[in-house]
Amino acid sequence: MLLLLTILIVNRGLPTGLEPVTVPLLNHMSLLFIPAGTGIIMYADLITAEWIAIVGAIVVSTLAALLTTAATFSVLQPMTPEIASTTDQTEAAVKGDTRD
Amino acid sequence: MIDWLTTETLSSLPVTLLAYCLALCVYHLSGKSTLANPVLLGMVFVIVYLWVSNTPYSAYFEGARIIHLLLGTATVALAVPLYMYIEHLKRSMLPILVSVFSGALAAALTATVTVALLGGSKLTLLSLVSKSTTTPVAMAITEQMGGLPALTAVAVIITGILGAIAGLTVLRVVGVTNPRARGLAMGVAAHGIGTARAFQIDPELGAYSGLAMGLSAVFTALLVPLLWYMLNPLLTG
Repeated sequence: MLLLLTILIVNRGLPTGLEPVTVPLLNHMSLLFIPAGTGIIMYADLITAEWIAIVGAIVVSTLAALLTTAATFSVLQPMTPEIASTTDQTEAAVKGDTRD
Repeated sequence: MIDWLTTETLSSLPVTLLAYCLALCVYHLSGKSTLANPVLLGMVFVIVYLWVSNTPYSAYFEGARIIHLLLGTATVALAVPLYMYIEHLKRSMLPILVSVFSGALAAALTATVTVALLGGSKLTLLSLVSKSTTTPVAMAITEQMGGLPALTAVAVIITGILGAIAGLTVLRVVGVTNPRARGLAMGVAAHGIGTARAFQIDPELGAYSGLAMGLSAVFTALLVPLLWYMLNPLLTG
């Protein structure tokens, strides 16, 4: 993923031929998790025994991630000068990715 | 015996595809409700099929392996949406990188500590440490560390659903109003499911969430193995 990202940055754009492959693949990514995820039935005993730790970790770390990210950004952002964005490019980039 | 095994293995692909199509139907019928997550629903349908037909999971997985293998390809393809959001990064590079990094670190650390404190096993700990990241990356990390990718997948989805449902409310309650801070927080805490929710509210929120999701996947993949080597001696005594 990092390698492809580096290539895209160096290349300054998506090469033709990449989009027809990646768009359907990413749109139907959910399908790809099903075989591995179904494996959860093998671990019913583990989950029954440790559900408190599992649920606890999910709740605590979701809250921690939300608050840490928002707080850090809110503190740092006013301290750094903002670089004017190239609005046209940004909008084009966002439009290209909202199709799912 | 061989015939019996082959029949079971052969049914894996159509069953998985059918389960996915059904799940998508329910998802669209529910008005794209966060609770009707297609992965979770698809898994439930496959599990029901395995249970009714009395098929062992190992036989099913053997047949569905080709779908599973595409997951690696899709993970590489994640670079494309990340590249599309990267324009946003240029506006305030340092605050975004530092806040996403801190968020990813906080998620991994608190998950580890909470599992350890609540008496979870090492296997559970290994499977949950990367669970704030997008599913393919989280599963790859877990696999590498020797955890249970299936448990990771389920934990990641539940995390995403929780973050998508409660995230913006929590941020409002604590007084975070900056849409960029809100978007970044959603992306770090609730990855793809949170990003989908953010896009429903506002495109800027969605774009920042998508950017944060991609960056935090990169950070988590680099951080978690490192963190593990540092914390492992402490946790195992």
